[in-house]
Amino acid sequence: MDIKGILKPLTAWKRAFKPPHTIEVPNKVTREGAERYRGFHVNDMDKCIGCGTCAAICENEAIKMIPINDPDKGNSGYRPRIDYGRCCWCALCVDICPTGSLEMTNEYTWVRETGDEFIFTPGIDIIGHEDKKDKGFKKDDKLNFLHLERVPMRELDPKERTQTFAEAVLGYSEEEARAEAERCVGCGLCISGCPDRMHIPDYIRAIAEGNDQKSLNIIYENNPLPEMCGKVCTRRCEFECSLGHLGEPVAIRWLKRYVVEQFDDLKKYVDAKPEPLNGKKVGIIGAGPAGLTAAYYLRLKGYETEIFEAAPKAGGMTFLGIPKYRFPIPSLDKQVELIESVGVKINYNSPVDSKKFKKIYDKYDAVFIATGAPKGMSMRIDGEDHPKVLAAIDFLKTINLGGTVDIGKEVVVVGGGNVAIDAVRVSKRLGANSYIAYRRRVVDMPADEEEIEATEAEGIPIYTQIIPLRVEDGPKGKVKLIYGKAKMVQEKEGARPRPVLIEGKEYEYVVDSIIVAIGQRPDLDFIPEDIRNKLEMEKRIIKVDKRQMTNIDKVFAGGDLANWTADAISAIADGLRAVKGIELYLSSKK
Amino acid sequence: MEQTIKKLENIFKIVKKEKGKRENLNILEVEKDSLHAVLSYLRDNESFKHLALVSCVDWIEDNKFQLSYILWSYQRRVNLIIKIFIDRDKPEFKTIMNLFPQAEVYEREIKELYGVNFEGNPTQDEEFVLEDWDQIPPMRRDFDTLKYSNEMFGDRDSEVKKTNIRKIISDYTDEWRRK
Repeated sequence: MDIKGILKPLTAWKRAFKPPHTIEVPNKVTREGAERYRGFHVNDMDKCIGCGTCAAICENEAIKMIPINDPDKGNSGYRPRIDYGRCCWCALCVDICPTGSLEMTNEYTWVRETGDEFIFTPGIDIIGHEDKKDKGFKKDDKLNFLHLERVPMRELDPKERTQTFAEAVLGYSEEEARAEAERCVGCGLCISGCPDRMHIPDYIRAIAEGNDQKSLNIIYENNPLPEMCGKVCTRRCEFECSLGHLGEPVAIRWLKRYVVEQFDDLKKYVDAKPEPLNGKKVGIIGAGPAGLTAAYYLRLKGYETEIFEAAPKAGGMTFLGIPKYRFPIPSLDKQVELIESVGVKINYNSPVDSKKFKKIYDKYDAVFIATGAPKGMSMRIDGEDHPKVLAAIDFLKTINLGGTVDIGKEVVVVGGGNVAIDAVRVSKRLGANSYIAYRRRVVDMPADEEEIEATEAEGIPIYTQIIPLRVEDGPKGKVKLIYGKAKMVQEKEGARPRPVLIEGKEYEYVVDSIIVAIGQRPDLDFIPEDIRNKLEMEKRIIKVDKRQMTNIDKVFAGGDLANWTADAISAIADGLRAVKGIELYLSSKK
Repeated sequence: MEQTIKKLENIFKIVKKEKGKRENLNILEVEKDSLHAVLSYLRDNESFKHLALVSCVDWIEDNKFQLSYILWSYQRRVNLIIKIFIDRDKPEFKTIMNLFPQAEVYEREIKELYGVNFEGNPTQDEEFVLEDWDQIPPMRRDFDTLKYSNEMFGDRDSEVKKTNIRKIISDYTDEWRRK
């Protein structure tokens, strides 16, 4: 028997008739918690992207991620749910939160009948403390766990680089790459931005660990042109990077570039073992990113693959269109070398016409068309057929093939995309005084932000809100681009403002050449008419299913002629989808 | 304040001087054997009559505990932190109840949370905030909070499946990703 336990109440009785020690809170106002007090969590649902970094850092496993919404680009749809039995209020989750959505209130009282209620999803389950978040614990700018600034990339001096076609971007050193890779929190939301779903956090982790070869092989799991992507990719991944919410996104593109640049002879380091041939043959038209990707991975799976390429080199637009100061030939060659080394046969200088197409169609078990979008679009204005008006793509192609184009001393490039930027920077390097004329504003330009910056750094003017009206002969063999100015009109809320011509006033550029870079379209003339007539189209591109299959038996299509994104990484993704599609198609056929 | 510190330096050995995060905060590290003398000097000669707090830091890598005695001068409206280091393997020190009786509670708290024994404090072994604690003191950094949470709370939220968010994010996109 516990004697003390019986006696103890008596000690309380002693005080029964004395005034109480405790007093009531004056005016019933409870004292506010101190500033930066770590109370309960609040999560701003508009900011939270469900990256799970809070759950990953929690040492007590107090945070579970639960599905709330459907996933979207850059947002997993999951949200953190916190068990306050496990939480020790260390607030590492708040410190590491890449978007700053997770914070704490300075509330210290919360009373519930059962402890089981102390598990909730901040932002979803409302507990009544939410208005007290201003004074609670927040991320400290000075002690930030996140490295918000990226390691700067070294570049050639803008003055120097306009004199040469040498590579403008110099690449990371080992030390720089490791430091940049260390910034990654590993959430993987970048993958949702990548059309090719590359295994980004995995290969960045390998770089941070100092294992470049492992990183290289992770990259090669689904991209056979990584050095190209490392240099010129449209890097959609970086726009989904969780660090981009409060700082600069991880330089994913430059890190990939770094890894592949470490290996001169890829054949020795990439673990690519083609399976023995299975007797099935796939013919591929076009050795661009889509064609090369399909050929490489199909060959690894045991299919015999043969590519027909009109140009003297593989690479498609990455070879013909992209200027060499962005993507030099040796970079391309070493990647193509690896692709050929696994047994992919590439026939160079082999343009396909309708007769040859028929032969290919009959000879192979499946055909993959990946001839891209090689034809420049027209401005549809009077006088456009003037000999001094060039399509940007033809201009870039001629220069890249080692030819010359007489563009003269003064050049205006019409357009605002990456091709326009390439054309204007190449013109500058050829010694012309060149500039851009674009219909909308600089912020509306579809070109890569970094490319626009580089252009401006090179002293190339970008004139905006210019609507070309017609082309006329100019004095002394020059050519005139007559244009009007545009005002930006917001027609629908949320929609992109549209340039509308201000009537009445006309202006002109008197130049030696007008280069038109307002888009490209596929050229399907090589497909025999009977097939072409049956081929289902979606406006100017070929309609394909999710495995890149067209409505014509045996025929698959991918790359710029079958997707609207029209960039290299989407073409690579198309190539990979076609691999799966062709594999399914051929294995079902027997 | 500088004068005070100079005077102190003439009498005692000051191991390290630091400036606090705010204007009216200074931090001095002294040798542990001189702590009582330093505190009584500051209390009696320099107007630091109020002991605001005693706290402890576990420097597990250095195998040390830091004890911080935070003083306040009503006259000058300044804080002064006197800190000492003791051996982590032998977590023992002497009480300062003879100088500041209210240290009794602070020392009792540190005893419970860090396991530092204050010789001469009669109530330090009474429970402070923990009930029936049978683990190593919980604020010691080698206390395994995850293991404790698992034993104590288990998976209270079992209807919500434990998710590997990293895997979910990498899987939610497309089935052709991994070969």
